[in-house]
Amino acid sequence: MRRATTLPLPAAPSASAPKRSLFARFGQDIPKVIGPADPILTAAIVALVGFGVVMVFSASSVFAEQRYGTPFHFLIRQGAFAILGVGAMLAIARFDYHRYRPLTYPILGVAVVLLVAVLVGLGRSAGGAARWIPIGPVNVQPAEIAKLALILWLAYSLSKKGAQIRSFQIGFLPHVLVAGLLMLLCLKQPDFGSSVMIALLTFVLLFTAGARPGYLFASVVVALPLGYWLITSRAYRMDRIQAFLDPFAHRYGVGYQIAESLMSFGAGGPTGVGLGDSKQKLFYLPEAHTDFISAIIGEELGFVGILALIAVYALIVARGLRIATHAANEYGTYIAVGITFFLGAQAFTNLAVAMGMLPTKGLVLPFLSYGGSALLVNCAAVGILLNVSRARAVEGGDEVGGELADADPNLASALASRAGAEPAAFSPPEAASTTTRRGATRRNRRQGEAAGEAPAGVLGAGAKRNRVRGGTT
Amino acid sequence: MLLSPRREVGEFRKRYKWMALVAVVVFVLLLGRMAQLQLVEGASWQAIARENITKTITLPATRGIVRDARGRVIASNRPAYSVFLTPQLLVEEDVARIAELMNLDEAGRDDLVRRLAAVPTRRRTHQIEMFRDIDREQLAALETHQAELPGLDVVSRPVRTYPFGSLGAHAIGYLNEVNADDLERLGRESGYRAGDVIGRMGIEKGWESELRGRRGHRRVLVDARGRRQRDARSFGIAHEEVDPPVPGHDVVLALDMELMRSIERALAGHPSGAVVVVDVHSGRVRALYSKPTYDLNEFVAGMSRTSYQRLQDDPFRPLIDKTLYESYFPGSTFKPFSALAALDEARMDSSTRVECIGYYQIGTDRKRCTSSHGEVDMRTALVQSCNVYFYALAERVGLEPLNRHARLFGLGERTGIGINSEASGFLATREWYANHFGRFRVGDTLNTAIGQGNTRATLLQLALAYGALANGGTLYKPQLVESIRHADGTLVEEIAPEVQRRIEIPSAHLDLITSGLFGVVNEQGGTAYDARIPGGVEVSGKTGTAEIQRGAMRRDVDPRRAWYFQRSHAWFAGYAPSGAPEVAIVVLVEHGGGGGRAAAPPAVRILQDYLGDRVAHVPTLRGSRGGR
Repeated sequence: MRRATTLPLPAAPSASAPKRSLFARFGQDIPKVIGPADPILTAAIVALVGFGVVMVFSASSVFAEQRYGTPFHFLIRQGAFAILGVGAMLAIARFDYHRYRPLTYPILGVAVVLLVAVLVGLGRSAGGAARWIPIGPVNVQPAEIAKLALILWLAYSLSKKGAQIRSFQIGFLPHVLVAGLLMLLCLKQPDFGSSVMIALLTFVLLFTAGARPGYLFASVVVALPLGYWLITSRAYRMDRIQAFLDPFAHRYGVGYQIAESLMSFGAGGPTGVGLGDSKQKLFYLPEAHTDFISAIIGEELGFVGILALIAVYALIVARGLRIATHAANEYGTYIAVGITFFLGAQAFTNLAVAMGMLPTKGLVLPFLSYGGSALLVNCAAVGILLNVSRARAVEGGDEVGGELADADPNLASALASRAGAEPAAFSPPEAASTTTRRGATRRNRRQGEAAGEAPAGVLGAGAKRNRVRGGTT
Repeated sequence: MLLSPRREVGEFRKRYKWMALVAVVVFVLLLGRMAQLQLVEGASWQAIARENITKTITLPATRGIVRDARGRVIASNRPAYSVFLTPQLLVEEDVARIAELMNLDEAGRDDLVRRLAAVPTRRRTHQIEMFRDIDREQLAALETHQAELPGLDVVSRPVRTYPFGSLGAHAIGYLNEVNADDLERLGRESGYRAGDVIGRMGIEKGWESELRGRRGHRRVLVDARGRRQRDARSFGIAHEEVDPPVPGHDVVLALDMELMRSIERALAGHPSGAVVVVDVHSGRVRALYSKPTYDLNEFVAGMSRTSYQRLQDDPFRPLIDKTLYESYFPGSTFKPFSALAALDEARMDSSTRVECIGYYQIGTDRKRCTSSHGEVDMRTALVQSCNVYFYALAERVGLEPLNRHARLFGLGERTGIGINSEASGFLATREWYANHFGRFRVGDTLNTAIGQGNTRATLLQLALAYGALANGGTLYKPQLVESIRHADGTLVEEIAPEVQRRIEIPSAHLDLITSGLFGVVNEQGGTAYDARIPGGVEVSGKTGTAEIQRGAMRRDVDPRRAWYFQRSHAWFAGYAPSGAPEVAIVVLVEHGGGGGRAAAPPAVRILQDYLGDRVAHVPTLRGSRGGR
């Protein structure tokens, strides 16, 4: 990091000037895809989805047998959705993300229409909140679609703003207004959690894009009392807060779920009671196969299982951030950051709720919880992310640099770390042809550090597979 | 990227670094919490979870069986089923379905809905007993559909059953559920819990600790709806933990239910009364009969308010145990003890004669006799129940020796039978008269000598006292329970007769008295002569006609029937067979009028039924105990 700030980038201004015009309008000059999607991320997602099917079966079999007469009820459905979801993910990964740009406003429009449709009563309600619209076999949650739409719109808009991102009127206000509209619509459902998520998402993307920290800080200051009022204004939200603060005082009331969940985790101990042997799923833990599936995992597989699970989510976040830093352009960076946050925040929130670290909030554990809609949305999001991860050629000669980086990345980084100097210094001819590869190599290493990956091996593999990042500097 | 010249790489790095840092912190937080829950606190959570998923099923102890002296079952347990509902788990359709399965009518269904709605929130997750002792059809219907109704449990709850129904109800007693007051009074360590039954009267109450037994427990794995799971492998429940219940001990009573039955027959013509029969050689209580009575099974099933009210309002007081809870003026049955007092104090002897002219003048007061007996000695006075003789006797003896002798024979103190909060009776002293009526008068002594005055005794006291007369002066403690046995019949404890005291009476005195008592039944002119059964069991005894105190007149009865309640109580106290006494008997016919006419015939009948077969061969005794 220290080196990064002192990094001389002589070629950057000159190289980027012409490129800017190429990306000035959407639909033009989409960079050529020259590499495959991130295989580590793909593998992690497929593994999670598969694991999810197993755990959904384990958690739901007793309930399903009692309710539907067959223990396989949820297994069959989740299996089908898993195949569908992974298929969709791979398909979407092949769809160039630049092509979303012309669709930005239509997608945002559809999301708003769906949110409004839910509000006016087209949706299906559960627990006092109208959140779903049944489309065919799946219940579409407009709030989820709205989040994806918002990510695409923010990425598009922020990448267009350029230096004006630092201004209040152009860089800050419009984004906050659109996000605010979506938040309002979500609040109306009422879906407090989605509103918070949208706020955080906007905050993170504005931060990433370089909005003034002062504005962001000020908006937090404004939002806090508002959030406090929103929480205290509804009895059920207060109940949830109280249940969170002391679940056992509300053991048979609002704290029931969280108390059972804590028991499940605790009962698992270091190694768990064994796959399929959960006792909490005997109707003790409501929603065992959906929102609280992590509690069943914790009980059946113990600390070891949850540790592995968290590691996989950490890996997904790490890969997502890495993709963000390696994206062909800002648009891709913002999409990657947004989707990574979207997935990571869901995973964190769900786990934190189940472990009693956050108030109860109906949120799925991405890729694991039962539910077709959420699985499809998350898979679609990863699909987009995977497409961003694909190496792209920005100007002629990129491939050359790529070949070199592939040739011996370990050597390059090892030398770099030993010399404490720019890796670029060890690849003079290629660096001359384009500045991009140098940056990519350096970033590879930084990426590894930042995400806490093992320095040499993983980095090397990553660098190798990611080939060249076009136009990164 | 960083295509834009506006942005310095350093700035993005910085922000990127922050994001990465937040991500790391967030995941570390999760891991920390996870470690706390699963590694540090794992064991305690496991314990909580185990508590959560196991249910302790109470295994009720079988209450001990009560038998009579000849092994007849007096109280036992009948299999029965109760319906427990868990309000939390019931939806409206479930309730309708249960009502339908139980074949409830409209009113019954509404009642069920109302009762379910009345369950307080904190109890809604508990199983609550809604129906007790359901019939076969209901049981079959509910059991068939139990799986569909998670909030329904049909639980076996044996019901106490009393084969003899109302016979001996007061002595046997009944049970019902403990209430909040009981639980508070008994305390936690007593082991009673809401829903338990506890003896309320008679033997059931007095011998509760033996009969009750100890409940057992079984820890089972259940799901959240309380249904038992077969798979108990995990959570260290390799086998279901069972702490088996200990059944209560059986209690064998001294009572003889056949005798009780014969008493019931003998008193058939009288609306209210009581009989006590005790074994004169052991104090064993063969009969404790109080009439009118009530059906114990009705009490156990949960009597309706109106039925109970009817029992309470009954002028013949069926709820009162007249054998020992209530005390009465003993009337002339007290005379033998007055006579003994005079003999022992050497104020009179067998030859002392008193002229009875139909009344006894004491100051300005003229106290009447039953008739004009002429000149009578002690024996004749007993046989014919001459009051004048005993007035004269009282004047010579005084109140204190009368009371002392009554106390020697156990009057005025509790016998210690151990059931039904027995009355102690009462022996009025000079001080009491002075305090109560302002001053003591000689007339009070005279009244005391003939069992009026303010002397009160229970039937049980009198029976034991007559037993002491019959056996030569040994006053026994009453013994209601002969033995305690295990459920399999093996002996836990044999209860030996207990002597209260040996009364030192010169045998000549006693012979005079018993000779008189023999005469009462067996001599022409004896007050119970008409009741004798020629050729039957020889009975000795004393009749009594206890006047109702004016002040004690019943105000609670219909004025049109009030005359009945002003009639005297009829007494007969005695023993049989005269020559070799086995049992002492006391019969009280409330408002029966004359003792000789109302109480003696049933007494003789009862004794004949009880002893007739056994003692037919016993040589008869004429005139005196000396022939024994």
